[in-house]
Amino acid sequence: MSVPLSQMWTVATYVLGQKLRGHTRYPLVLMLEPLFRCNLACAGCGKIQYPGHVLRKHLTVEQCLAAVEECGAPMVSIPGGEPLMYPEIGPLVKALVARRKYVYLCTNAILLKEKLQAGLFTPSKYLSFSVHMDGLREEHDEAVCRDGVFDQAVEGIKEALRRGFRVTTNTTLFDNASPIRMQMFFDEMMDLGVEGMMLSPGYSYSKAPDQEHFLRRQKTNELFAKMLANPKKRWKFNQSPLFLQFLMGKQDFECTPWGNPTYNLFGWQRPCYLLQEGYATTFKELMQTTRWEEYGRKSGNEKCQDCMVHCGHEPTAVNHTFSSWRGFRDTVAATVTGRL
Amino acid sequence: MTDEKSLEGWAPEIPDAATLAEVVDRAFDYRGDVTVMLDDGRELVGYLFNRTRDVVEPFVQMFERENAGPSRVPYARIRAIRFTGRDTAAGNSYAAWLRSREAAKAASSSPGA
Repeated sequence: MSVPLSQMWTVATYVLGQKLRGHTRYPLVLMLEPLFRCNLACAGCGKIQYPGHVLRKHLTVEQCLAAVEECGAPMVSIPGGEPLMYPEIGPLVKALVARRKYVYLCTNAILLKEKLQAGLFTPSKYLSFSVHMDGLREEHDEAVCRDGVFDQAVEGIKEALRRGFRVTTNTTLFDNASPIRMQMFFDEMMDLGVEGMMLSPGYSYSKAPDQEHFLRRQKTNELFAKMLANPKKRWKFNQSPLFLQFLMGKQDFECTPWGNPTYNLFGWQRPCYLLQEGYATTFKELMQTTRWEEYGRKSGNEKCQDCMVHCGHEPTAVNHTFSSWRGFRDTVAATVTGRL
Repeated sequence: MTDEKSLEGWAPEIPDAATLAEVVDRAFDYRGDVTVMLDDGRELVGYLFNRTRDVVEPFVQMFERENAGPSRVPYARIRAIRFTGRDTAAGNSYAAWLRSREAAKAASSSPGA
């Protein structure tokens, strides 16, 4: 696994601190969406279908920082929309790094080279560009519904690495994914020199254009079991090994919908990053008034039955690591040996 | 693409509170602007992004097309809701993109291309 030691330490002490205080529900990663506007319209994305006047709006830096303080999570993921289109992205990232938050700036990297050349960012152990890459050139360009985007992203990655930035990739998999092609993709990303890769099955957004290719639970297990059966030592994953084992069907985790709370123009999104069932004005209100028991597979909620997405299940995997000796042992073993 | 028919252009009658709650739910789920008609005759045009029911005075929240900040409107003041804006989630863009891609491939591989 490729998560730097200082980041592991920060997360470990944060989780243990929450446990010592007796907190059973706590956030791990804040999903901060400063805008919904994007320069792509990907087939599997249900995040950007809004009227023009909503797409033109964005949060202020002050609103973003207030949400970060209120939430208290040690990591902040900035998706969107496309965060590099956010006019205040430079000052926002700078302020988050100054607060020692581990920032994952989730970008399609179309604008990455340009923004780096403009001097918008400074390399830091707290900042990682998490570049959206859904596979090799053909698969990626098909997923984002535009030819040439893969090459632009690769160019952005190279430029970021050349300038000393941390770069990871984030990949969403659908049911047309080929295990062999994905293994070739892992090789290609490692050849590029990225620090690590993040994988997740897609979620069937009701507003996404493509409704046909979302993975069901059994297919997810089959795909990941094939893809990661004999992982090469050189493949680095920037995520919990237990979460990958869960995707392979080796672990059974319930969803932790409050683990990656989402804040955007509309407020604190209930109950999670994927479902939009309403908004709370404050983080406290979100945590205290959301009917958490109505979500997750065991709840019987139809919308949760096939979901195995990282934002709900990776916090469970991390919590599992620090909840039992077995969880801790499994995590250490996978981290040291690279076997899943 | 969602098979569900778009609600674009829908202008339902709202005879009672139960219907109002249902129409508000539909408006909340709708990815286009709506027009909310109030008891004083005013009309608010914008995107209805939230509704809170489990409180003493249930309310909706909107980003009005012509105003910056979100506004809050109690259910009790709503007389009608019309689905007047374009449904941004409607259409068949993925299938359309696939078709255009296939057509482009066919054109580039055909003799004389």
